[in-house]
Amino acid sequence: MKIEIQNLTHTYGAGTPFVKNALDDVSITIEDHDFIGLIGHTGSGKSTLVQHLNGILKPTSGRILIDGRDMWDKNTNIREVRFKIGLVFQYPEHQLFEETVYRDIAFGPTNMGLSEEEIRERVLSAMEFVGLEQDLLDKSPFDLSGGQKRRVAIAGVIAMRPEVLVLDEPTAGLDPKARDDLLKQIKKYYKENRSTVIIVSHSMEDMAKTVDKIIVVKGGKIERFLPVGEIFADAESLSSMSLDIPTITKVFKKLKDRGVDIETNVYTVKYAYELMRSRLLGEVRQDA
Amino acid sequence: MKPFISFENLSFKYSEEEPRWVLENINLTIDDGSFVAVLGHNGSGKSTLAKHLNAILLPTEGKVYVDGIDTCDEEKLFDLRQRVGMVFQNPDNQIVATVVEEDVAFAPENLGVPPAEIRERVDWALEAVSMTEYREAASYHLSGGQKQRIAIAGVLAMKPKCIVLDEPTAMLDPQGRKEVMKTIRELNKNEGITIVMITHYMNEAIMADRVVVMDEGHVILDGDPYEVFSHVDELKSVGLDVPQPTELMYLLKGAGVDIEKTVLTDEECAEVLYNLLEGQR
Repeated sequence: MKIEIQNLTHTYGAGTPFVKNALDDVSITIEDHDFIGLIGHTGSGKSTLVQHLNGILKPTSGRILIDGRDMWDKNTNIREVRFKIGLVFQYPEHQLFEETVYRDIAFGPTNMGLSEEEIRERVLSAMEFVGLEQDLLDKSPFDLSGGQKRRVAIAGVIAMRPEVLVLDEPTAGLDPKARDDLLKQIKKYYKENRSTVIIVSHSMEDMAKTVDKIIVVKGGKIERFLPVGEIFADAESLSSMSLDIPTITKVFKKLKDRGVDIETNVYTVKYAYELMRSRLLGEVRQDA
Repeated sequence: MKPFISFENLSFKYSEEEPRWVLENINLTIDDGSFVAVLGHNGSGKSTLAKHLNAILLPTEGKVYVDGIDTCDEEKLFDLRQRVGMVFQNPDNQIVATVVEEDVAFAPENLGVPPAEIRERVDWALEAVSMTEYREAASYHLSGGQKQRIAIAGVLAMKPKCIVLDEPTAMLDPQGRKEVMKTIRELNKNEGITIVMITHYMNEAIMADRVVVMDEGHVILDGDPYEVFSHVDELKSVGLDVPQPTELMYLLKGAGVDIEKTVLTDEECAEVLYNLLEGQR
């Protein structure tokens, strides 16, 4: 599914003294089956941007085309759009509301008007997908641990089988293993369903090993939209936008600064390891 | 000398019926003025441990002493809570007033501190977290990192000897995270405040003098960061991570590169790699 954002501006508090352009004339095209990381510091407009993708927010001006059709055209059924573009909010566990885990996850599919049978099948497979045991089905979601609640909330979106999956800081507050597991599952969803995935995150180290392209948002504008490697190659400008670069990237920049002839677009430990192993032990890299 | 904090055979469960201990037979002492990071996956018991420090939770078995006070001693509860301040994950849940300096004054007002001294303490606390210029600002207009620093200032205004922070940076962006970590370090160094910080970020844990790793209600590793992060396999097996430079060195060592010491930071890692590459020439 292709998403074209054309000259999107969003103004909060129009007509009040607090008027602010959260997004300012943003144009960007997200191709079908893109795997994108969206970064930018707090207040940069990234959450505002993702909330436009499934019509929670309406552009103040500009258009959003889904496979060429204007999302807000009067002939477009916005409800259908929301079934196709699933959005997982920040701290989604705060939005659980049903009496049982089953009913919470079934909420989306039920609204889609699916049969009882189909709903059940989807709830169970979504639970399996996020790694929730089936014996939790009839439990109250409020009796679960924080990590389990987060997974129930994500399962609720997965159960709708969206063509585009948008997640706003899905790993915030999770421990390292839970974080890695979740990122792996998201990657799996991306591959198995040929879907488009957009992840908002503050963690450059997570983004470096997960996504293919990165969008940097700053002050309501798109500053960069590049493949991961090119983003981190330009460390100076990221620092100037008060964004971080992966620690491992800093190591190779420091080596370069000390006069070592070495590449600096190293942004995962795995790649750093292969590079250094071949330099130090003289083994030929597989991808060389 | 008696340690500032001591956990003596501490065991805890939320109710009698629960079959498993949340904390089981913890023995741990923490020195006055130290900076301790506590690591562990969700559910490992680390927050439960922290909540024993100012009697939010009381031991099911065993004892916890802070600055000589038994946390079970109800008569001393006020003294205890004045000595140990807590800062939690979500800054929005910790701010009570709409103006920054009024928020910071909340605790000393409740402690019955005389007005002139409240003024002094608030000014000092805001200065310590570098938020003086925002003292008359609306607290709800601040960024996450700024709000968290105000929450820390609010605790500081009680003049505590110890601050316990439970994932203080989890909801912040990299900039906010840096601000808060800088503040925590300065309070430890300049004011001598004992810091107990729970975190999921290995890059923050390496700033502490000591790292305690929890798993299933037990302390499984305890030592300075170099010592603890040399146990790469063990940390990974309990769902934790190591800093990227540490992991790279570990992998290279496994491949047969001659590396002796554990590295934690990008500088140390670059230094070792530089020397290895130079040695080849």
